[in-house]
Amino acid sequence: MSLPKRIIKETERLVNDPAPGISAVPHDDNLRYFDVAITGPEGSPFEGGIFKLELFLPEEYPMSPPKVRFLTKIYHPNIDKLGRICLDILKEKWSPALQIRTVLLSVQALLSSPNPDDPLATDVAKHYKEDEKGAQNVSREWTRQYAS
Amino acid sequence: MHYGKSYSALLASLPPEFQDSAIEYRQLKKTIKKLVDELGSLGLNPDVLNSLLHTEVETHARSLQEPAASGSTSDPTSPSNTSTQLSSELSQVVSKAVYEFSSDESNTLSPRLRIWISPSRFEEVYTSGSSEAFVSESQSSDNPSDDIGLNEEVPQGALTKRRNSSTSLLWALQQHAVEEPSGIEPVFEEQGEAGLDLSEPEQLSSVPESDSREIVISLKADANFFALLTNALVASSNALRTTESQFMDSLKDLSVTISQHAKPPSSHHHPIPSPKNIFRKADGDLYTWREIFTMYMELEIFESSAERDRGDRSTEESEKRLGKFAQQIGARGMKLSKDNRTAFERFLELNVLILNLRKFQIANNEAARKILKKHTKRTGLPSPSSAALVAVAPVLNVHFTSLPHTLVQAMAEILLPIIPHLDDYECLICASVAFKPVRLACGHLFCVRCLVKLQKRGKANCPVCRAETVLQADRTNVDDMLLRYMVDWFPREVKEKKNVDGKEVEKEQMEELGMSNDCTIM
Repeated sequence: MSLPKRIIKETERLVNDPAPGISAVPHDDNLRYFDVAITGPEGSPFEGGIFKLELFLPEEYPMSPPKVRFLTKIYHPNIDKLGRICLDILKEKWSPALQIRTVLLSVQALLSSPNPDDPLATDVAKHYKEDEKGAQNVSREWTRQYAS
Repeated sequence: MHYGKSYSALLASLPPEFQDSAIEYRQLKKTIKKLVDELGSLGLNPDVLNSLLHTEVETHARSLQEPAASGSTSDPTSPSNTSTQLSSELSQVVSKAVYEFSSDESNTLSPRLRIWISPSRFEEVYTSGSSEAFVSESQSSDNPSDDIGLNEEVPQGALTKRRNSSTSLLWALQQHAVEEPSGIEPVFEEQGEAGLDLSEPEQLSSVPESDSREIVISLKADANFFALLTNALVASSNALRTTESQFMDSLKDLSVTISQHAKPPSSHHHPIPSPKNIFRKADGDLYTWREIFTMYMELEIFESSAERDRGDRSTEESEKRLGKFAQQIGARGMKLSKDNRTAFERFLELNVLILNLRKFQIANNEAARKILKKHTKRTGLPSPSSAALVAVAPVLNVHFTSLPHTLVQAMAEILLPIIPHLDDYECLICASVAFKPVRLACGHLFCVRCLVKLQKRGKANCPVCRAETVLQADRTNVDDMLLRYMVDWFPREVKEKKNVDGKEVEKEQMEELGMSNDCTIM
């Protein structure tokens, strides 16, 4: 099955002109599967970390969203133990006009602004709501421990 | 060190119109020598001047800017004054020294030194003696140490006798102050105490003094220097202005030529093409030029739009990329007709012009910077701010510093859009030409195939703006004008797209019938 033009074009641009702090490289044997690395945004508790993710483009892409998951352990209210991400554009708000690039930029932005009101990891969210400073310190600690 | 050589070598590689208007580095260097001699004849070697004028460059630059600017409008004769703190022993005699410019209506910079001395203290100091910083050739015979002009043991009377042969400035000043004004070179304009009233430095008030004299020395060689420099700057901006208008004319002309060649064969603008036209013209020229322009845009010869290195490229990099561009076109073995080849060569020439222009500007700016630095270093006179120079030569405005950018942009706005670019007619979803084009009620455009897929999945929202316009779309939403335009300008892409879509539809229909290709073997 040949790769759709859309995926070829997106991949070319991701490799040739990567967005700052984001890299996405397709596997040689499966061009729909990407190794992703996102650097923790400056000023966030994730600063200094490099977070690995996997991204998969299902057969239906871009009619359905890419599947994205953190591989690096991260202490974040919208990312659970399995690395699953709570982000509306990856689910009901997906639009086929969005791209791998825009998805990854959104994930990067999510690191800068956690949203504990829409939690996936309820314990982390609770921690963030009750003691933001303390929770951020844990995030920093995890970043040092797992993402550096 | 051999900047002058490399500069003239670089200029030699540029077209004559640039060469003629470039800064004459060597000439300026000679003028600096003359200036150094002129100052030297006054006993003002760089060290002396430095200590006399010892001042923050910043404050100086600021104060220079204003009078030069106002000089061209209302008050052309008002000079700028900068109080100067004296740092050496000379401060006991020379209470204040200023290097300033006055500009007159003819827009030339007239540099001059303004010096205030206290003759009475001069006598105190130099008859008892403590200065080290004078040059006086005439005394070298009596005095073994050449750079000590006014030695401790030289009595007042002896000094007076030597007044005509002495070339030491302070020696001359002393004469001037003590005696009647005499024919001392260069011209002194005595202004007396009046000139001090407004700007009398604190230093003076601590030692009450009534006999301060202000002396203004016009620096002829320095005036020549700045005249040469500003003339060159004016000449180069004139050259740039000419270059710009020539470039624009040439660009427009080339645009017309190329669009005539590349016009689509099946042009719907001429509803009944004559049979002759149909046979003669294929879409070859259109695709040739599209390929040329696409390659050109992808190479981003002058300015990068990549996230990593956005902005201007270095001239070396641009030159390399331009070379690569010409080479790639050659390597493609493109069959360019004679007319097309001529047009392509003209296109290359325009790019070479932009490149040369940038080289010229960089070299010229560098030469100006270096020569001003040399001026300061050799003479001890602080250099005027570039703003002061701009005020004298008002043509040196921002427009010209960004001229290469303007031309690159003109290229992108006038020439390149002649051939419509596929990116502008793509369906956002499948990234192919949006054929057949369907325009939703919200104004967003997709190909019919992707829209059908959305509808089948019951997606109601526009992928771009999320307006609920998808399900309402029907046959009437096909943009017929655009459809014809796409057939004209993207005949190959449209054909391919039809092909791909046809296969996809076929496959879907099979699947819906439960006969997916994947399991036919079973």
